[in-house]
Amino acid sequence: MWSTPTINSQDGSDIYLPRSTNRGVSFSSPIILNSRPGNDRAQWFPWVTVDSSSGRVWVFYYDQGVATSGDLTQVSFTFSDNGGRSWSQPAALTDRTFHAGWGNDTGQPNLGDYNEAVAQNGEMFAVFAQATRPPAGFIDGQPTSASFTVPDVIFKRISDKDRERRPAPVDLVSVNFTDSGGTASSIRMKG
Amino acid sequence: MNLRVVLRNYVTNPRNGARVYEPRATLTTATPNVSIVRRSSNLPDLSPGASGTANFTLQTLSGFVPGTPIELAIAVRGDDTGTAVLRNTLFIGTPAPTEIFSENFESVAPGALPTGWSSVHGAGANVVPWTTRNDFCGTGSNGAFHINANDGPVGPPAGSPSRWERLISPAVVIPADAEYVTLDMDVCYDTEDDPNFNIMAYDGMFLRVTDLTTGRILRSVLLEAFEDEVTTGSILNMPKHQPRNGDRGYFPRGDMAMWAGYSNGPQHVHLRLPGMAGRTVQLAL
Repeated sequence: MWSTPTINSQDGSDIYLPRSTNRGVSFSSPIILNSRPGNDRAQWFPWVTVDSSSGRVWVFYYDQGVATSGDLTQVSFTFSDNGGRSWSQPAALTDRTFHAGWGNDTGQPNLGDYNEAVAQNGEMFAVFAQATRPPAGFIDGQPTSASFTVPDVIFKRISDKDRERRPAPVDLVSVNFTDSGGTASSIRMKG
Repeated sequence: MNLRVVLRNYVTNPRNGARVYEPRATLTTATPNVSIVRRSSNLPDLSPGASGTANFTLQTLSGFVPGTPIELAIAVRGDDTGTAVLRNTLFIGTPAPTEIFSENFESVAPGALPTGWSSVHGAGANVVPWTTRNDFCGTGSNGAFHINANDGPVGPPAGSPSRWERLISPAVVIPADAEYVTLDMDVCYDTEDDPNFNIMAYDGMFLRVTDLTTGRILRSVLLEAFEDEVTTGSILNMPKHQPRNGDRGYFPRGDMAMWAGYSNGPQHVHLRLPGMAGRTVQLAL
């Protein structure tokens, strides 16, 4: 499994997965797992794990398909119950979208450094780095540290039962409001 | 307050895309002193890739502090799906802005920097300083400028061709009662990017904010580390990303957002920056 860019496209990169039924002697042509192949910006740092008790294959990855530009990001996951022939609709593993650059105070972000997952007895256990809005803004980490306090390492546990009714594959495109005074205000999604 | 939320069925992959039948959205908030008057909204069926609009009504109560961000949680459920919970922060209010610093570079002749501004060499074999010019980007006005110069040594063992040149602003004191800082500027750029990977660039401009406040740790923080909002023209954030790189000429290892590639004329940049009240700061481009 790998993540690779689509040459000369606006996509960034997609998640590719080939199958082998002869212990890796040969592989099928890869299929693309993310939501809108070739049209949903960057997906990267995929991780795959298999539940030996059920055979379910789980995959999770970083996903910037939640906005048409910028660094808004979520962690998405999908799974297969038939050895990778078909896959569930990708869904968010994170509770909310986040700016991938949050906490990147000196050009050394930590996204991807801690990604790993295992699956056992009908559950997937995943860890990954996730940024949150720095609590103190510009002065986050001060006065005791020169570094920001984000991103954090997140642990997620998902069971097969949680997945019996898949969440609606719906995301936010925009949020706009008009106040009672009649003044129109507009914002784009900020996560 | 009337809230209009556009929702999309985001899966168009033919392997698993499917219509969402009779989607219904329900709004909740954990923000104190905010009441939801209209909390549910029905949408039309959403085919793969299709969008629909949900409408809600909020009301702020007497204890609500104007300008407080409102946390939204929108639960969406289809006739044959489970529930997806979408979270969003709504920045509201009508702040009274106070201009505390401005610079249009028109007070000096082309080739000079205004008083208090300096060009500081960060890394690289040769120094090519920031200056001002009035003959780029078609505006006719004077602006800060850095020229492309492929004059460095080429590769090991000769050294790195990379360069890092900084443009440092005068110190600016942020009022202690500032809720947040906005910064607006126009940028124009034409730098090397990757023709095959259109989010990647190798040369570009980024902004750091240096904390000069007495008694605090002196540090310079990349804009992207703490911003609430960055827009460049019609896009969110900055258009390109610099790859991670151990080259000593890169700041300090790359891997960050940049204004880079081709801007196609001047683009307006708007920043909303939290947590700066009472600080003394410098801008470092």
